[in-house]
Amino acid sequence: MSPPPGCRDERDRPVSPPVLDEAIAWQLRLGSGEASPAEHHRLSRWLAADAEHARAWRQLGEIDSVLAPARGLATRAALLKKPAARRFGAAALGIALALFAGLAAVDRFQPVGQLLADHRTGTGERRRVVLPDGTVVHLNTRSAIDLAFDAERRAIVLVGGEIHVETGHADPGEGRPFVVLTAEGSLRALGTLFLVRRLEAGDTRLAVTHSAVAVRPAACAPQPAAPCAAEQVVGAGESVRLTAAGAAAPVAAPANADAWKDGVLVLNNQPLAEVVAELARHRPGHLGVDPRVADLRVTGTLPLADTDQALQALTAAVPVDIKYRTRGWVRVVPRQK
Amino acid sequence: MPAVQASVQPLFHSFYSDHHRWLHAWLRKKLGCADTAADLAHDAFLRILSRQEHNGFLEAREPRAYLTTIARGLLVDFFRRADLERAWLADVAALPEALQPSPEERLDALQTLQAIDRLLQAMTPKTRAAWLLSRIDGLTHTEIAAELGVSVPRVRQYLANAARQAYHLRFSTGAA
Repeated sequence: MSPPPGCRDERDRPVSPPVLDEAIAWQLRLGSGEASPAEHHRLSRWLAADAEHARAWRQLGEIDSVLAPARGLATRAALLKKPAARRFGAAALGIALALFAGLAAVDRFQPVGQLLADHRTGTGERRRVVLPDGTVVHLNTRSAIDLAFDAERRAIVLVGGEIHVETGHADPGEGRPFVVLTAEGSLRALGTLFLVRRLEAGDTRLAVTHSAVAVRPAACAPQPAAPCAAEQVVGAGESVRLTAAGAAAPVAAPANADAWKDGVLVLNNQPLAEVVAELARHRPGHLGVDPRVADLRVTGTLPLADTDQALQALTAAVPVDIKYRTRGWVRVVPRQK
Repeated sequence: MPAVQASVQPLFHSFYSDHHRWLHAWLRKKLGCADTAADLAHDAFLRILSRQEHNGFLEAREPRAYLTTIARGLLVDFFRRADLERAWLADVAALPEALQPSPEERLDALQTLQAIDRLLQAMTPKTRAAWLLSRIDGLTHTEIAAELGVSVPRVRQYLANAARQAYHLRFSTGAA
């Protein structure tokens, strides 16, 4: 950002620290989102009062315009990426500090804990995986599984995200149980089609679409032979939530919860906040909802492959507008009259 | 040219002829590209020459270890620059044709990005996040506070620090 030597003219001369502080205070007041017309008026008076004030203000504005090439989403992500460690140099401190922001930025695209999993999907990606025993697993957006097949069991670990399992019977003599493991417990297939969701640590949700699944909290061993008083059998059309405290009582599973396999989101009288949270999982960047419209109910079908199109479709279903600050920052707000 | 530099010149010349070929080969192995290796080797020697008031290259007991340390730093910068460039070109490719930058604008933008990169790396993560959300995305302080999980006064503190850092990098560097 430094100009070549010899080009430093009056316009680029630094202002005194107190004037810089005042100019920054003005920038903060006007950028707060709550500045009144009277304040704009006071700013013009401050700018006119001294040439140094005007110069400080113009220089701050120049810094903003310099930031323009960093607007794009990919560029933003690259800038926030942790730089490789250097052997020496003053940059070391900056590198240590950059680490957290770098991770946060990566997490928008691919949850960081999942980078080393056996099968995983990035944001907006869905994948079908066939396991060695013929079991078909669909991974929804931002999901990861590890395979843990051994002589005793066919196990997969759901690290995070959401999967749909269709257990395979490639070998009719297969005697090993099929188990999905999460930190909250084990889910043993009893012949079957089911969905497992683990969107955050400490919360596993199971929805069974066909036959049944035996659910055990983490306190019980996952082996079927091991006794477990807390085991529950969850039948077709039922759903349970499993936490560190154990499994809750089954409730009716939402219809079409597995429609994402076909690239659509089927909504039946669902609160807008939930719908937006769901779409946000399929899209990089921030997608928020104004609390004033969070409780509106939505019914319909949205495409997952194109979340911009899905957001447009929402505006036809409920009285909302989609406000794009940038492609990476979107908010669902009440419709302007 | 200061006297010390003139007196060191012949020594530097022999240092250069002793190790240039070797450094070029070392960089070429890392990069898989002879042209870039030649550029970076050139940069490495320039950097040593510009630092020679410390006479590091004369005092270094193992000149090749000294050279690789410098070259390694240049490689890190090179890959970082290449990453930034790729990302920016991907963003630009998504723009409509009318908004495509000219070759000069491209060069400018890429240089600016490196400066932004240096600036952001000097900030704390929350300061950096708050500043980008404010200056690029135009979020209000309340929105940024909600996004970062901190109070509004804290957001203002981050933004003031960021503005001050950016200002000093742009306008105060090299100034008396």
